[in-house]
Amino acid sequence: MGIKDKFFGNLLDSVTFVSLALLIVITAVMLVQHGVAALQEEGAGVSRKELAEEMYQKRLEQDKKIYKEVQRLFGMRQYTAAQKVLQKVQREHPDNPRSFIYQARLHYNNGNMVEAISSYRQAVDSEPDFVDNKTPLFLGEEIKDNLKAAKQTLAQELKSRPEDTEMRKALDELLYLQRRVAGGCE
Amino acid sequence: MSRLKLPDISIITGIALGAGAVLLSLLGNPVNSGICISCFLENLAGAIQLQDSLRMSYIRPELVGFLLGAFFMAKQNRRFRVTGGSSPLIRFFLGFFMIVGCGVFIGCPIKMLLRLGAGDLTAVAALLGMLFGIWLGGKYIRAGSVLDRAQSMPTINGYVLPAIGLLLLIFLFLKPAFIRQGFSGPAAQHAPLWISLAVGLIIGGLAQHSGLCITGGIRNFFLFREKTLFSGVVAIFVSALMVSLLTGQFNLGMEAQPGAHHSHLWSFLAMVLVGLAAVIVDGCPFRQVIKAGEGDVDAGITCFGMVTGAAMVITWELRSTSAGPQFNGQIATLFGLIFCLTVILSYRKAKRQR
Repeated sequence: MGIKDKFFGNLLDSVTFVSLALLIVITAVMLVQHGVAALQEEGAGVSRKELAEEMYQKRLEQDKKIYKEVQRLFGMRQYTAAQKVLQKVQREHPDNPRSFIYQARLHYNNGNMVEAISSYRQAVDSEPDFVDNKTPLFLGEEIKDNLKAAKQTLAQELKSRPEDTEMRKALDELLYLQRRVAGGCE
Repeated sequence: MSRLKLPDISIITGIALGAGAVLLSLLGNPVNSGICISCFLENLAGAIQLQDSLRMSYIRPELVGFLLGAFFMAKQNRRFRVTGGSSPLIRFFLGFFMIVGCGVFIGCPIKMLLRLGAGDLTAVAALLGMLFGIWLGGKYIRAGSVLDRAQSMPTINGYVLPAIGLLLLIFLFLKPAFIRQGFSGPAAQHAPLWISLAVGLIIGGLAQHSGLCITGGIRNFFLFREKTLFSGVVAIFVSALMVSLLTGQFNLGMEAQPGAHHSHLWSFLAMVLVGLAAVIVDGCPFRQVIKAGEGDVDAGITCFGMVTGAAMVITWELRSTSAGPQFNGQIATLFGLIFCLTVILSYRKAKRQR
């Protein structure tokens, strides 16, 4: 049987074959047109990636403005004053997760490791990008270093008070944070 | 390639999988998760908007590569055989529950080996669980509890999954608006597209040729002391270990392990579920993808179950995080075990009645 006989054996097959070929060509043309248009749009305008980068940049600038005073006092090691300003910022911007980071830093510098860990946990839970090294919000190295130091303090405290459930909970949270900072597909 | 004996090609596939996965991690894929079928399926489900976590939305080229690599190799070697029709709904839900188990452990059997190879001792409980699940499944197979025999089907059925793979590849390049891709979290962690695709195609082709399967290799060893596929499984672990050591990725211990938790009981139970379901359905999640590429329609149905499971794992929180397993994940694991055992019992009863 020749190709002609095989494909055009009867009218119904012929019509189906031609329709199928037409549909494939139309679909391909539409897809290519769409793809070209999308590429041109991406070239001319802003891509989704650029939009994301812009969003991060805006957030960083906004945070810099909001926490300027806290950062200044923190740099001068005036932790009590920094805490007061931070509380004010927290009232004005209750949804900003960076507050937890500053809170954790203050607790850490005051030697309140349990509270520092709890604040870091709140920070990471409300903004996972703090431990995502692919974003400009990444603070993983700082968190990692502070956790390392806090772990030593907690381990010593637990030796003297092995029944302290709050301390155990803090250690569990610390180990959780260490796993989050380590990365993975979460 | 056809001159190579099966144990050799199985070991080569194992080495390619283990070493390739660690190298993919070094090139950008998530740590200890260079290749993980359940994670890849969760990413795929997000990309096609079956789940709404943007951080986990990306069409992983490796996954498409496995499917198409297996397809091309099967066609090349005339091993593209279209069969199906064996307990489709049961297979769908076994696929679903396999991914639930993977979600609760945080990783498929391949990732479990990769985690062990990177020194993550939290995966030991999962290994024991999977071994127990496979051993149990083997016992039931010996007792005659197997799904129906697959029938020969019209060829077009076998092309559906590879065609979907091709479509996903087109989506990956054309990036239509309805395909999502996250710019933070695991979605942003990926090796360069062409490298991922090439690694996927090579491993897919090799896996089709060798028939490598994590659970199948261990099952054959338990049942018949047959070492062909088992040597490939060992090769995955050894090569992952070697490359991890050489590249400074090795971190022995339980603490600060990426994508891990300390609920060892649930890791154990979750991988019992994966091991048992994989034995019933005849192949681990990776093997299901490969079989779908070589014309096995039943494996294709299982893949659809796995994708659905991957979406639900995120949407219904049937999984674990680094903090441990979520309640829904624990219940889903138990449901999965109940489902597996019910299927096994009903097939045993049906066989006795015949």
